[in-house]
Amino acid sequence: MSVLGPIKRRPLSRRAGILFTCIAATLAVAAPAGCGNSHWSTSSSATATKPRPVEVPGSTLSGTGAFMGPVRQVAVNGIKIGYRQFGHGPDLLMVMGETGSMSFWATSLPRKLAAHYRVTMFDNRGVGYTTDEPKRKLSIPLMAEDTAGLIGALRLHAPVVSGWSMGGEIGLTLITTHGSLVGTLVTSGADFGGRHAIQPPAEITAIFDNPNTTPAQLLPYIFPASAAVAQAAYVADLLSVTAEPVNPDIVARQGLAVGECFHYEGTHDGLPKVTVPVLATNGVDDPGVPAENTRLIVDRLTRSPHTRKWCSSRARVTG
Amino acid sequence: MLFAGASHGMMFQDQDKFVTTVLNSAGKYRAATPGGVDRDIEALASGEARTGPAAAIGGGPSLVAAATATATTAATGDGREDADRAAHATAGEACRRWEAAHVKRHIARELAHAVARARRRLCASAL
Repeated sequence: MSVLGPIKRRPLSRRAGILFTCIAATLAVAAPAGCGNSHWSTSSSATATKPRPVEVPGSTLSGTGAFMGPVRQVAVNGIKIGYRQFGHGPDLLMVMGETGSMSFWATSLPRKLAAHYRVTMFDNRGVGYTTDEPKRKLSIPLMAEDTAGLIGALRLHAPVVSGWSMGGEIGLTLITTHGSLVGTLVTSGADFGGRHAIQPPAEITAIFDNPNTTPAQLLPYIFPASAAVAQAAYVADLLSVTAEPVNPDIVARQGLAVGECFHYEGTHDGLPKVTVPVLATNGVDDPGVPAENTRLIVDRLTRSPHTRKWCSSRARVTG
Repeated sequence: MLFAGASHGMMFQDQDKFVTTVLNSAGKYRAATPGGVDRDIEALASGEARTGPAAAIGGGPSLVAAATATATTAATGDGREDADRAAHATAGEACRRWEAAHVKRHIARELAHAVARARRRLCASAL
């Protein structure tokens, strides 16, 4: 699958991930053992035999994050994807947003999820414990391929895929290309890319693009003023977890991938054909990914012939 | 599904709602609505966006809250006890109406899907 059209840089830091990167940098959180630059520029080839997960020594978190267990790596789509798996129940796959690592899920939400699901969370290509192929052009469809490969390699059974921000866009692309692998998709703060997606206002973009904008100034765009308690709790939770490093190179590459996504119509065009149930969500007051994008996603999905109650021609007999 | 009083970090802001309601709703609608987002959910979400975070998914509590406020306002001057009684009565009625409508919608949806399945079978057999 190719990404068509010229590259147009989208604001790199409009996503939540950059916020966390700022926080981690500000507080100089150390990288855990076994995770770091050695992964960023290395690549691995998929083996002919079935990929076998390998535990990363020293990757089990201490304290409140210990229940998430160690990081394992598995060969998928030309790279090694680092993931954690914990909990019991139906499979749930968490897909992180732009520049975020799986450590940004913190511990509180994963703990609650683990009571209901077998949770798998992972680092996107080039982030944290997941290796990269620097010469390979990064794109949302490529990360969707990686996600599909991970579902297959771990034999996740019809997982609920939950994607936040760019992770939601990966999920939306995933169901247009590998819908049979997904049980249900839940997006939060995502858009479907292409020219129909709604971009944030210019003044918001300017704030995100300003290198002098501090994490404290960005936080209100993740949590509204009325959620100060939740914001404080989340930040404290986030900082209780040893953050994985996010290399500036992959930040730039992901920024390009997201920018290119606004010239990629494959997800928008493919949504009416999907058969996977989708729940698109967002906060009404999201300034970075305007909530109208959620309505647009719903609108595209409800055009699916599978939701029509009558087949007026043979061509529509697809369900 | 849009959440009032929330921003980009919605899933972290109200984690319990996300875990117990949002993800579970996705599971429920796998069976009810193959191929897309349930229109009822979307409509309810629109109502939620208008009425505020107290309006949970399903619409019931928001109706109750609105009915309670209306009844309390209407009963002004009749004493607090009367106002409370009126509010509870109206809220109870709102609950019953919502439940009845919810059941009707559920039955209608199931019927529609049954009809659609039958029609698809007919169409497929005609190919």
